[in-house]
Amino acid sequence: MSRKSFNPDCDVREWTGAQRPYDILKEGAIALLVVALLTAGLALVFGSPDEKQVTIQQWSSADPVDFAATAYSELAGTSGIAGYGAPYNNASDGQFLGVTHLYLAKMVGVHIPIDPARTFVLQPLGTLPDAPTLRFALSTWKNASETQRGAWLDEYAKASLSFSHGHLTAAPLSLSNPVNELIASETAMARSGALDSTMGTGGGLYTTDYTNVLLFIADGGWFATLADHQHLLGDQWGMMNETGSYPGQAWLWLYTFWYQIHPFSTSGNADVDAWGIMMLLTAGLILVPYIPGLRSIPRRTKLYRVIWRDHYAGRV
Amino acid sequence: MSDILGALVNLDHPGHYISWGWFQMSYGNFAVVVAMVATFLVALVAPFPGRQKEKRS
Repeated sequence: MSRKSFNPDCDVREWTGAQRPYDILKEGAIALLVVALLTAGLALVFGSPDEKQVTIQQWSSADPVDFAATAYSELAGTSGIAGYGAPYNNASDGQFLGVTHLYLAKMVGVHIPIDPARTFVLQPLGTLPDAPTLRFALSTWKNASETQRGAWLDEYAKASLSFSHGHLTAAPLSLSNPVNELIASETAMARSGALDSTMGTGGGLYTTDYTNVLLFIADGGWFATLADHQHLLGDQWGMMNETGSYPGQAWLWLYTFWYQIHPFSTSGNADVDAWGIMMLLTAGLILVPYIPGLRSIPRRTKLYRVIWRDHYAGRV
Repeated sequence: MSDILGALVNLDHPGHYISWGWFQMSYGNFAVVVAMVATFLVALVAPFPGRQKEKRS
């Protein structure tokens, strides 16, 4: 009968030397206390980020033309969300994983269906009371053919947008074109703060679901400008940054690293590719004890001999 | 009250960043990484608590 050969990475010889008591609960309690004191102390000295939430009202007040252009893109179906694909719609296949051509988001399917024109423009405007001109514009839009809507949108796109004295105007525009009334009303609604509450609550009084608000704000250019100033964009290693001068999520350095290098920095599949690589590396980390060579690194580097130097020097 | 309990060091102002080619890191993150590496090195070489007492006895 052949005996299995001894593998220093997997097999352990029975310890026959001296033993000593070790109180792991005591060490755990001390570690917990030290970390708690450090946390409280550092919070007292440095505080924590207190960035106020971004609202549609802020956006439409700070950059009404960008807001109006975004509302127009939602109505015209040319916004980022309109062409995003799953989980919001079927407009595109989305990103695929590496060379597999596996469209992960598409495989999960459309489970947060969003019709941008209805969700971001027509539905909120429909909640405004005592607005006969707007009602007429909504009705005109609803009853028009796709061709007619396209002609109105084209005409509005060619008009010059300007904002003065609290009013958005597009000129020149034919009187029968309802797009100006829709976009101007949406802008006025946003500047009053009503759009935040209408889009945020989704029909309920209390909500924690701000999906629609966030998607709408992210479709505009103003939000990206804010992120740029705070170094939070993808190409600024933003995933590991915090607002202000606070330290952020430094442990995400490897995740955001992939976004900075070719081919991911110019790839349309960067999100899913970076995710795929990180999942592969995470699996490698979990499986270290089973990977020959990798599992031998601690034994070969002999770092443990530094930690337990007294033992190996024969002093203990 | 908020003034009394407010942070002693205010970090709520625009950050500064180390830039080296395509590499970027905030000074805040850099400080944390340096502290982590220093803690690791100290943990390697610092004697175990109670060892000196053990040796004397």
